[in-house]
Amino acid sequence: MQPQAQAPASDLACPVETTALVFRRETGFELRVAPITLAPGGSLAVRGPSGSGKSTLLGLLSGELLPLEGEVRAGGRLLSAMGDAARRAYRATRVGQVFQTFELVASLDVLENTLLPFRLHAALVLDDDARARARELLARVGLGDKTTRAIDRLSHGERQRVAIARALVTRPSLVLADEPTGNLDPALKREIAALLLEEAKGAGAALVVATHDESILGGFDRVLAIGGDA
Amino acid sequence: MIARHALFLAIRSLRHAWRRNALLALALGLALGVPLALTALLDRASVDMRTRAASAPLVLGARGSESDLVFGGLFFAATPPRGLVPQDLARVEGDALATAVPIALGATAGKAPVVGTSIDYFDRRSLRPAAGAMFATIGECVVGSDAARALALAPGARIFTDPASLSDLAGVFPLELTVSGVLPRTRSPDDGAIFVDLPTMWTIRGLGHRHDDPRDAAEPGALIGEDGPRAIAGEALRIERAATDGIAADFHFHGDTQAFPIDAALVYPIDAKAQAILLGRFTGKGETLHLVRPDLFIDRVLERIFGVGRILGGVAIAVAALVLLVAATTFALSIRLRADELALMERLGASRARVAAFLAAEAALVLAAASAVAAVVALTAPLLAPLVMRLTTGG
Repeated sequence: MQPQAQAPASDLACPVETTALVFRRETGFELRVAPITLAPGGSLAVRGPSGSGKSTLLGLLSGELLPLEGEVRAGGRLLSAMGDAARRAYRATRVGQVFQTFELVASLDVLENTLLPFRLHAALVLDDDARARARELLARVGLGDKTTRAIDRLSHGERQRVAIARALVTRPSLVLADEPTGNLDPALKREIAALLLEEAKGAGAALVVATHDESILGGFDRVLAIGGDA
Repeated sequence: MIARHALFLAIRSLRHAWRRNALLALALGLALGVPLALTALLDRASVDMRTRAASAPLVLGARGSESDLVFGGLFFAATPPRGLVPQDLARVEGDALATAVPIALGATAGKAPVVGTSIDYFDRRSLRPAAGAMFATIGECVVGSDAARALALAPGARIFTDPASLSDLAGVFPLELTVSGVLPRTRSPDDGAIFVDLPTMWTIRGLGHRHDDPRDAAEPGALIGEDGPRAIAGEALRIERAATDGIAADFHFHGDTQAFPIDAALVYPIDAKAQAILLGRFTGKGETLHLVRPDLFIDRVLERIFGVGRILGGVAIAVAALVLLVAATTFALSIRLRADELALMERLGASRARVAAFLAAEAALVLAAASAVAAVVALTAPLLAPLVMRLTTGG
């Protein structure tokens, strides 16, 4: 781990850029990943079987985990050189996340869930602009008429649409999606994957999707296979 | 900003499981409120009882139960030992050491105790009817504020005394009373009582009545003989006991009213020395009367109640501690059940402090609601003080 604190912060041309990464858990699990570079609007599918380390890679890109070897730069800044608070701020303001189990808050309605990031970090200000963007995104993902609906009254597909709107509401430069179609019917998988690709691209965000689902790989700029076999 | 968002999320979260949280707040509120309520209630009841006890320096009655004498004579809630008569009052009033106010009990009207006394009773308490006037003739009564409310009595209203009394096996015949006035609220046993003068009380107890002169009576057999100026009445003579307007003057008593029963007398010595002399006067062997200091007696009673109250308070505090423990466990469990939600907040960039603020806001809101419940319980409890007084005095 190189102590490389100062970084060209103006280098926004590259939402995320890594050298070859090595990550190891105490359990003995080890992940090795080739260098990744993503341009704004670019997309990468990370493919591999369960337990191959796809989620771990996303964790390294979001700054939740730090690599044992190698570097992750976001907007030119070295994540490992940032403190915990700075990495949380980075995650809150520059990264949008979508999860397999949707991870919506049951006590909040559709619009409130979409705006949740603004209530979690001081660097994000919940203003009229944020609300307008949330409504616009919900309209774009087809939930314009369900903004006040309770989460438990939504279908799985609708829940993931809320999650996509939430991931994009902060205008992130990088969107990380961990098995975003894993809990969906086959017919919905491609629809949601396409929506994710389209919206991330439209928002100018780089998209990294971890999946073991071959059927959705078609629209991605690049596919990175991890976990040895493929 | 942090506080506003934490509060927003906390309110949403509490609202989502509102039944559980309302129950939690209620349980906590009661657990915290009950010990406070108990203390407040006992404090209020003891103040009221001490105030009442202090309103009469001494109580005179027939020998027997001291508690029946005090609880009867001052609280109208017990029947003092029988045996006191009006002429006994001369023994305390005789050499101007004190004045005495008679109290005659033994009847109720609409379940409220009817108290026979003199106008002095009200002068001593500076009590004037808030509506209407003081009783003036046989058959008139003034009513305490609570009794007036409970029995819907106003000046001019009429009420029959209750037909039977356990304390008088000879039977108490109903007498219709006319309400002349209603007393102001005093937070004392006066509020629940109906006051009449002694002759009315004796009438209720069957010692006074009115009837036509047997010689003028319409009923055949009303007059069974004449002894000079005296007429001998027969059983057929109609005896009227209702004190309707205009006939009060015809009421009369057969026998010496100085020997009629009263139950207690409130004794007001002119000074401390007079009080000491009077107390010494009723300690002799073979003495049939009893002069007691109600303040000392009530202090002893309250000591016992507070002993019980302290035990109850200890139990209540133990229960409160238990409920707090259960509430804390419930809260901890609810946090664990929402571990995913909290982890999500951190993954989306929330600091641990932000997540902690959210949980703290939730706990604070539940505690605030519980405190409100506790406050309501503790503040309304003293309203039960009259009940405690009644239970204590045996009414």
